[in-house]
Amino acid sequence: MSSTTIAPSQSPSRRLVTTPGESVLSAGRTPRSLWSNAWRQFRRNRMAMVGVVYLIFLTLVAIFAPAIAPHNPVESNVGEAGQYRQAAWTTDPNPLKTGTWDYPLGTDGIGRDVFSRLVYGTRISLVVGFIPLAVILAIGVPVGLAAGFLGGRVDTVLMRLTDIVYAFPALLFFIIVQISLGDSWFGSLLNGLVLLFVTLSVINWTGVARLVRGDTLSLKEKEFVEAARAGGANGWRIIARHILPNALGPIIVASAFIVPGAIIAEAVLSFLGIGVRPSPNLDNPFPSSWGQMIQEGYQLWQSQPWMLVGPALAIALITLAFTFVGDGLRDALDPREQI
Amino acid sequence: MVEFLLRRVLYVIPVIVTVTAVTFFLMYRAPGGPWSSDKPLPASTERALNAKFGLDKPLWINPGAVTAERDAGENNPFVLGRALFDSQFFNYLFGVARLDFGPSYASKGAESVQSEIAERFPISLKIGLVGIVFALLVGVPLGIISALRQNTWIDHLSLFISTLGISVPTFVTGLLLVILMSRGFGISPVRRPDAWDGFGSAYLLPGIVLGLGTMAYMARLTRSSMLEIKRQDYVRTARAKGLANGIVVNRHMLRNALIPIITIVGPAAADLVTGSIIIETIFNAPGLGREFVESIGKRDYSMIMGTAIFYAVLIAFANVLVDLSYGFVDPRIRVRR
Amino acid sequence: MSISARWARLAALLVAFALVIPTLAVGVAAQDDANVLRIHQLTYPDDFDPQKSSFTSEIVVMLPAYEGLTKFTNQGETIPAAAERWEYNEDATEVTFFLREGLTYSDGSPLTADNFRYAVERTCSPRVLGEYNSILFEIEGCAEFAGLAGDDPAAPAEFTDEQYNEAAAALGVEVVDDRTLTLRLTNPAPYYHTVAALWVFFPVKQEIVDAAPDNWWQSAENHIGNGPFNFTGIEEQQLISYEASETYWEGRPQLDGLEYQYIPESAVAIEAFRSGELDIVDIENSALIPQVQGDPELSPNFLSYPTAWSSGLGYNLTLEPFTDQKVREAFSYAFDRETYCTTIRNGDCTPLTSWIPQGIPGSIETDAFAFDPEAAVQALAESSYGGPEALPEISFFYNSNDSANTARAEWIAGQYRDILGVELVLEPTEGTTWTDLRKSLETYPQMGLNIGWIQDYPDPQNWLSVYWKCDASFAQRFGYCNEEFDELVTQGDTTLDPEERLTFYEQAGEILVADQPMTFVHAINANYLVNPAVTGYEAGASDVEWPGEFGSLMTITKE
Repeated sequence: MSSTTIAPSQSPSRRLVTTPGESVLSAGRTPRSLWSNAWRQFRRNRMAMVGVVYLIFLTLVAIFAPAIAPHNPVESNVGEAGQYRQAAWTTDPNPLKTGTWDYPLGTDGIGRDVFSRLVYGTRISLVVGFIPLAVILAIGVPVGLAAGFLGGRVDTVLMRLTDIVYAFPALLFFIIVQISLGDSWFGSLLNGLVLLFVTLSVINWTGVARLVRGDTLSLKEKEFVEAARAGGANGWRIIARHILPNALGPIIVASAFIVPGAIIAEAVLSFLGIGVRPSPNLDNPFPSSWGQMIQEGYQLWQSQPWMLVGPALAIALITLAFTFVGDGLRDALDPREQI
Repeated sequence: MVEFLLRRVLYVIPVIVTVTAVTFFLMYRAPGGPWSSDKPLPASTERALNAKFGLDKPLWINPGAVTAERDAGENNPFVLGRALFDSQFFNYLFGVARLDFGPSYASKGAESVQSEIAERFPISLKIGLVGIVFALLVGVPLGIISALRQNTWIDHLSLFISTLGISVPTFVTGLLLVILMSRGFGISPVRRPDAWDGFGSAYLLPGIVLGLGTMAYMARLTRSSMLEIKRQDYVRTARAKGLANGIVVNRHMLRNALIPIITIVGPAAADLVTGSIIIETIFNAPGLGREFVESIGKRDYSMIMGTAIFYAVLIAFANVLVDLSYGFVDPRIRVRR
Repeated sequence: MSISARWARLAALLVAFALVIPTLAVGVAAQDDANVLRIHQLTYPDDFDPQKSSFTSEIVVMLPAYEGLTKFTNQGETIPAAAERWEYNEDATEVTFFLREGLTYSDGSPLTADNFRYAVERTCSPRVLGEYNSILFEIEGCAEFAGLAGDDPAAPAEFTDEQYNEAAAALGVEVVDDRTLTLRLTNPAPYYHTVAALWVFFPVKQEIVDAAPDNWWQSAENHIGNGPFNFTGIEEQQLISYEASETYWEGRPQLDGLEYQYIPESAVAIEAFRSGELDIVDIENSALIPQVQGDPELSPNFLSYPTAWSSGLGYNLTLEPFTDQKVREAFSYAFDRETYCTTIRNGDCTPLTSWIPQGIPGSIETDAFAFDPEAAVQALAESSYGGPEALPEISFFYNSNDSANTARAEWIAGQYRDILGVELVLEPTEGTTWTDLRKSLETYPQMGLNIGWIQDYPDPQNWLSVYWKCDASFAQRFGYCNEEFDELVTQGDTTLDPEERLTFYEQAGEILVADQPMTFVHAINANYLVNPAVTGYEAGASDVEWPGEFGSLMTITKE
């Protein structure tokens, strides 16, 4: 990748690979652990590290929300906080609507602090993003690998199952499930979050499974896999050493989309009136969600821009962080980039 | 090949049965029925309405009818079997087998489900098609350039666009676009009904908003897949052999990089065609997605199940197409079995 | 390098192209038709067959093209329409309508008493099964006719043609001659001329209905009516249009035509108003009101008025703690209706401490159980629970289809938490589930938001007897029954003298306030943007779909 580089590389990680001294090493494919190498590689990717730092930061925000938020996100006192107060730097003829740093991003329709709700919203967004992702990968990757690699009857059975689940139109399935089970004991677990996780996971694992299967099918035919097989490597080793690492790229890209997808799904369900259920409990650990905030704010983009911009920006940033981390992981785990 | 196709078509049958059963189960679990309104409906009227539409039958199986038949001296197992399955669920399935999806309850029988679908679906289909074409037309080239010009401004711009594409819900982008187009370019925020006839400009904006997320996904996937391929041995070999860059990009990289894209094009198109609910609300399009959501609210059971089955079949066939297309793109993956 | 650069350029071009296309697609310029009023509607009706429909979104579609025996003014008075006068017998168990001379349908065919008899027969028919047939059950034989199939769940829901014809013939609707129609009633009902204005009396033509009983109403040509406008087009989910009728007895309306444009998203409709493509826009989402009022271009066109729609916090009177009157009183005292209406609902409601909204016949003025936090705490302390600690868990249900309800419920729950120290459990409930739960006492919500009544016809009988009497299906749903109240409204229902009737109803209204079976909170306002060029209309309390829908069809104009 030296002289024929199509695009001039800017990233430090790319430049490292093209350093002549090190590329000699890379030709040797040293037996050092895949993962420790990957971590070394990953650490050198500045954007990926920024993503990781941001996600850690968000996790801290989520944990320490009560300390960070200036107000209780549930408490509403319109007489004092003012309804639809503007952001701190905006003035308004009405003193109750003029911005103040007490309420940095203003207040919402019932006088709750937008900034505090944003801070607490981190919690729902992180769990809504991560938990279904974990479940989706835990089901989708093994199913896809098994179907693609083993083929034959296993493939047929797994793919028929996937086809059936896949055939449910996603959004419509969410709606029916929410309406049907939303008022059951199960539907009200953790403000309805559990039901949301389950539906998101049930629908989305098939996408990952199909993706992984497709990749596996094509990788299985590749020269290096055939070579490994000829060299007597068993199935597990081929999967772990050759197929999985090569299939990781698309999986990671897809994963980086599942998280914002889940957060958006929550917003869309709020739009349809069937999202996470609210609670007047002042100590509720999950009092607000970015999706719900976008739903409340999207029509007010003119008069109360921060009710929309705040949560939309928050979702965009977390998406970006995931994309960076995903890209970094993909590069780091690429077997051909091992140093 | 023919056998393969036939087999795949037959696989759709269990899909239909499962989708119907699950939808049926979930729908009947939800409180309320098609005649729910605040007004007091006399019991006899409700009963007569149920009888008119066969909603007075048991949900899953009808052992009562079997007993009645047997008491009447009937011993023919075929007749008894038919009586056992004289239930709402199986009657609906038998109807589907005859391509009869039943009357729409919300219109109190004025319209059949298939006529509703025939009237509404073309609109959702056209919006979805614009969406997928937009996603391919923008997403794939965007991904290719980002990969070829990795870490340049154009790569960053593409990242920015795709981040926006997925992290802002369609009801926000849709509304903002409607308003911006109205204020900036004098494009009417509402459309006259005839705008949806044919394939006019009315489909452009909703299609683009709908396709935004998929576009972003395709751009990222193309980029990642291109980068992957760029490092493959055979590309390196081709370059080492001194092949011109363009030929390498064209013949070797693109074809392989497109495999994951093709995997998702079919399902993505099906997703778009079946997922335009919110777009249809914002753009005031009389499509099937909106109708479906409304029918859930109205407990229009036959409409809900008919649409769910219709969509499921659509998605299932999109998958068959994907499987077929593998063979065309990568001849090494032959259609087996 | 060269070829890959070409690739990049081509790709860049494609991106640019796809982003530019939308700007090229210029929409159809708004044609400013002569004098056509373009009205925004949010929900497309499921049906608009007069004898089957019951929702306001359905009625508003039929109103321009049909007319009953009587009609309502903007002030809620009942005035002659197809009938030029009416007479009750001495105990008000019979009412006779005298039709105008020379009435015709829009196709020129004569309109006679037979057509109105057909409307009644069709409403009650067990083959039509209209969802609101019970509204005519006071006509002799109607309930029996409608219930021909019986309500014994074990017996098959069937009847013979003979039974059908017999029951139809037994209906208490008598065509005396072409211009005279007599209704025989099961009980004295001096308000029945008001009922005769309802949509179920709209005289559809039998030959049209018989040709396609289930779906005749779907095509514009089939709507041969007797109102000031004729249907000209029906585009499902999109547009319903009308033109002025030349055959209406009162003459030709001021407008040349009328259009209902169906736009589910208010924000989009507002934008269309801005660009001059709509004359009346329904702002159903109260969250949009501050934005509209803060917009110098829109605020002068904003119109808001209270409607005949009363609602508040409903309770299941058979579930603890709301079996205890003191608890209900505490909840009523603790409700700050003023802040709720002006701030939380952005002024889209008018505070109310009694059942019938102000300005509607039978309404009373009272400040009993108005906002008073101290009295609230006091009342809770006086209750059998002695304070908030001993109260059982309270679930607060609301209809989550209206997304604005979430913030409202959160605010109300916050108020009860802060004032009474009671923590409510919020139960967002999907629309149809919400309707279904309220159908029986067993499932009726312990506490519910926005429980109330939209009047069918402007008479206190519709507000009080239909809803609160012990045998009314509504009162039975949440378990209210007060003999004293029943006696008063029954006297009101059967008294012929209008003044005297009203005093009975007002006394009954006072009993409701004293009992506090619910917390009366507000009359809902209707909010619109109206093109300043639109004149000649007056908004009435019944107009929940657009200002002037009932009383201004003849006079409203855009010139």
